[in-house]
Amino acid sequence: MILKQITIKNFRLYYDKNTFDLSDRLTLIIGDNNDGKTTFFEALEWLFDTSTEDKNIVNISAKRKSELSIGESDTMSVSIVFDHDGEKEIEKQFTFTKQADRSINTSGFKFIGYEERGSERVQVSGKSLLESCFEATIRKYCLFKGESDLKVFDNETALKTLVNKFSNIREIDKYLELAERFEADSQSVVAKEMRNNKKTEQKAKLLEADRLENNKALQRIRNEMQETREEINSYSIRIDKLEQNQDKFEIFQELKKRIENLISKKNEVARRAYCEYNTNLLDRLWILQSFPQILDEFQKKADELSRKKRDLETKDIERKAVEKGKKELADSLMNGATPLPWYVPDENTMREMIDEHICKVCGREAPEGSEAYNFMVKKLNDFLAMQSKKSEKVIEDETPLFSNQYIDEIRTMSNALGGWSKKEIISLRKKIADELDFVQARKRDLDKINQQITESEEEKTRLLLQAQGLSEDMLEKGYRDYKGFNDRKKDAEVKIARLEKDLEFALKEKERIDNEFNNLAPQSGTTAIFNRVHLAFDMIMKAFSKAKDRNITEFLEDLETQTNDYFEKLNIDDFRGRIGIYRSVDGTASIKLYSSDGTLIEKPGGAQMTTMYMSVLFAISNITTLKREQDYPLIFDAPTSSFGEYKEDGFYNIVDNIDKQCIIVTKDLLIVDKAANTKKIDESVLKNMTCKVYQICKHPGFDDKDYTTLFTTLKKIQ
Amino acid sequence: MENIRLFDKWLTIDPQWETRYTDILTTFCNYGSGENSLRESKGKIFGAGYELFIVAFFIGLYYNQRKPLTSDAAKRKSFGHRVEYWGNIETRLGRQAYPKIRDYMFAALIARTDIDFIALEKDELPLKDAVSALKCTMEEYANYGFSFIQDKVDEDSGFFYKDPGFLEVFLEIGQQKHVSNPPINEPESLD
Repeated sequence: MILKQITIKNFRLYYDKNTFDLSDRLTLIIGDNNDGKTTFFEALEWLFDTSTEDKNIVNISAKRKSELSIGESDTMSVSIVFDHDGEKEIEKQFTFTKQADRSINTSGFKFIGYEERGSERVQVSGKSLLESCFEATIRKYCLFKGESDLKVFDNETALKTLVNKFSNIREIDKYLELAERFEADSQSVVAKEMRNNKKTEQKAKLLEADRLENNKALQRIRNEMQETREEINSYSIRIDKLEQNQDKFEIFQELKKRIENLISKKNEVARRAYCEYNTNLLDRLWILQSFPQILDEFQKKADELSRKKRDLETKDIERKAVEKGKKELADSLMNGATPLPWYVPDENTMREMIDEHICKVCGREAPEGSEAYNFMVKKLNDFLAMQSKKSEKVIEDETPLFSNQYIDEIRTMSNALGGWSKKEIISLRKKIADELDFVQARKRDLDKINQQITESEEEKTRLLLQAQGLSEDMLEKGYRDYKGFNDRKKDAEVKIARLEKDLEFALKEKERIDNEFNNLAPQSGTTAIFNRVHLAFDMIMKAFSKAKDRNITEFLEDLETQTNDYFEKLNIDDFRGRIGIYRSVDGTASIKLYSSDGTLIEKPGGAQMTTMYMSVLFAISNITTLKREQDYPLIFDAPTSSFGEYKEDGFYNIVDNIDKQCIIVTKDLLIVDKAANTKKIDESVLKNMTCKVYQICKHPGFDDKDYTTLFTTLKKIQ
Repeated sequence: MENIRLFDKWLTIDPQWETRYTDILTTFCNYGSGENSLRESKGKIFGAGYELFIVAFFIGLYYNQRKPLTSDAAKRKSFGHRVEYWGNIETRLGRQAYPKIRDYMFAALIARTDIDFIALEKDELPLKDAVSALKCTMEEYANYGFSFIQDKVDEDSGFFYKDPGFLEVFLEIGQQKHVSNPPINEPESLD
C-alpha cells in the first residue's frame, strides 16, 4: 500500500478541501503549533477507525459551521488514494446541516471504497477495503503520534504479537498442536496398557502419580511465571513512564522549591513595601512635613510678644522707681536694653556657665569676680527667687502690670518646640522622601518577584503540559512510586529466577518420568507397539517444537539485523551502540540497547531511543513488505521532539534516502522570526533533499479570540 | 489660685464643622459607628472623625486658606470629643497615639490668630474670647480643608484610595511651597 493522495475537507482546522500529493518516499508536512499538524494526523486516525460511525460535530471545521446559513449543509470528509494491487480510494464522510436553532445536525455517514476491476471503477465497502489492504495489525506499526507512541515494544507481548503475525510460526503452530495431541493421546494409551499389565502395574501407577504431580507442578510454575512476567511488565511500564518523566520530576521539584522561595521572599518584601501613608500623617506626624515655616512664624510671634511684654514691664519698673526713688531698681536695668525673661537661660545652663567661668551666650570667658561672672550669679539668684516668688523686684504692695502669664506660656512652648523638636520636624520631609523611595524600591522588587513567580508558574504549566497525563500530585509523589515499583520489580525478577530453576527441575523430572515409562514398557507385545508409536509422536512433537523455536530465533535475528542497519543509517555521525532483540523462555521478547562491549545502556538519550524505535519500525515495515509483498507507509506526528537541531537536519536527510514511504508531520525545519511574526522553512536543509514538502500554517488575519476565524492553509514548497 | 493655661483652655474646645461634609467623614472615617468598633473600621482610612478634621485643618493651614463656617447653626455640628482627647488613639488597630500634634496645632493657631495678647495678659481681654478666636481659626482652616477634600472626591471618587492617598496632598503642598507664604496680615504691631 503506497499512499498517493490525502484529502481533508472541513475537518477541524482544515477548512474546505485540502489535498496533499504524496511522494512514494518521504513527504514532510511542516507547521508550527496550532497550524494543524496533529489535526492532519488525527484526520487519518479518524479515517482508519473502523470501529464506530464517528460523526462528532467537534471534528467539523468551526469556520465552516459558523458560515452555514440555517438549513444549509456541507460535508466533512477524509479520503486517501493509494496503490495496492492497482489504484484504490477510501473515503469517509458525513453531512452536517445548520438547524433553525443554529445547532448542527449530522447525517449521511458513508465509508466508501473504490477499486479498479479491469477498466471499471467499482464502489465497495470502505471498511472492507481498508481491512483488506491495511489491516489493523499493520496499522498499529504504521501510525505514530509523538515520540512516546513509538515505544510500541515496551509491552513484551507486542513483539510476541509481531512474531506471531509476521514469522512463519503460525504455520508450524498448526502441526505442533496436532503433534502434541497425538503425543498426549499415545502416551495415555501406553499408560493404560501398562497399568493393565501385572508386571508393570505397580510401577506404572507410581509413575502415573509422579507424572500427575509433575504436570501440576509444571502448570503451576508456568502460570506463576506468566503472572510474574505480567507483574514485571506492568512495573516496567510504570517505571518507564516515571523514568520518562524523571527529569520533569526533578524540574518540578526545583520549580516548586523556587516558587516557595519566591513566595516567601514576596511576603517579606511585601511587608517592607507596605506603608501606612494615611495614618502615618498623624501617628508619625508626617502631616508636619511643611510645618517648619509655621513654627518659625509661631516662634517669631512668641519672641515679639515676649519682648513687648518685657519692654512694658521694664518701663513700668522705671516709672515706679522714679516715683519711689528706688535707684537700685533702675540700676538693675542694662543700658536701657530689654532684659531677657527671668527664665532664660534656664537654671541648668546658668549653673553650667558659672561653674565653667564662661558666658556661653557671647562665648567670652567670665573669671570669678569679673563683671560678667557677677551678672550670671545675679541672674541665677533672680531665677531662683522668681521660682520661689521671693524676687526683690516684686514689690508686693503694688499691683503688677500683667496679671496673666499667657505670653510666658507661649514663649515657653516656643522654646519647647525649638531645638531638637524643631530639628525633628525639619528632617521629616527627608525622612518621608527616604521612606517613600524605600517603599517604591521594594515595590519594584515586588514586581520583579511577581514576574519571576508568574514565569515559574508558567514554566510549571508548560512542564505539566509536556508531562502528558501526569498531574501535579503524580509528579509530587513520582519519586516515591519510582522506588516502590523498582523494589517490587526486583522482587518479581528474583521470583522469576527461582521459578526458572523450578521449571528446569520439573522438566528434568518429566524427562525422568518419561524415560522410566519408556524403560518400563515391555520389549514385545501390544504395549511395546503402543510405546513405539508414542515415542514416534514424541519425537515428531519435539521436532516441530524445535522448528518453531528456530523460526522465531531466525525471525528475531533478521529483525535485529535489519533494525541495526537502519539504526546505523539514522545515527551515521553519532554514537549509537547496538540494538539487541532478545527472546525469553516463554516466547516474549525485549529490545535493549547495548554498548559494543556488551554492557547494557540503561538510559539511552531521547534521540537514541527514538531512532532505535524508528529503526525497528522500518525493519518491521521491510519484513511486512517481504511477507505480504506489499509496502506500507509509516506516518509520524512530531517524532523528533528530543532531537537537537543538528541531529534533526541529519535525520531528515537520511530518511529522505531510505526507500520507504514516510510521512512526517513536524515543526522542525521551521524558522520562526517572532519579531517579524514570520515563519519560513529552512531551505538550506531542504536543498539536498528530494522529498515532497508542504508547509501548513494558520491563515493570516485571524482573530486571536475567535476560533471560527482560524483555519489552516496549505502551501506546497517542493 | 494659679491661672489656667491658655493651652489647657484651648484643649477643652469641641470644634464645629459643616454637616454637608458628613458624607466624606463617614466615607473616610469610622465616624458614626463608634470609633472603637473594630468591625466597622474595616476599609476606612482613618479612625475617629476628628482625624479627618485634623487633616482638613492642616490643608487649610498650609494653603493659608480660611473659610468661614455657615451661620446656620443647624448646619454645623461637632464631634462631641474635646481636643484634649484627640490623638489618644485606640491602639488595637496597630495605630500609635499622637497627642503631640495638639502642641503644633496650638502653635499654628497662635501664629495665625489675631489676638491682643497684651490685653489678654492684662486681663483686659477675657480668656474665653481668646480661646474663641483660636477655635474660629481652627474651624475655618478645617472648613477650607473639608471643601478641598470634597472637591477632590467629586473629581475622582477613588483619589484618596490610591497610594499614597492623603499623603499625596501634603507632598504636593510641600512641593508647591504654599506654606512658605506668610499670613496675609502682618503680625499685630507690638509697638
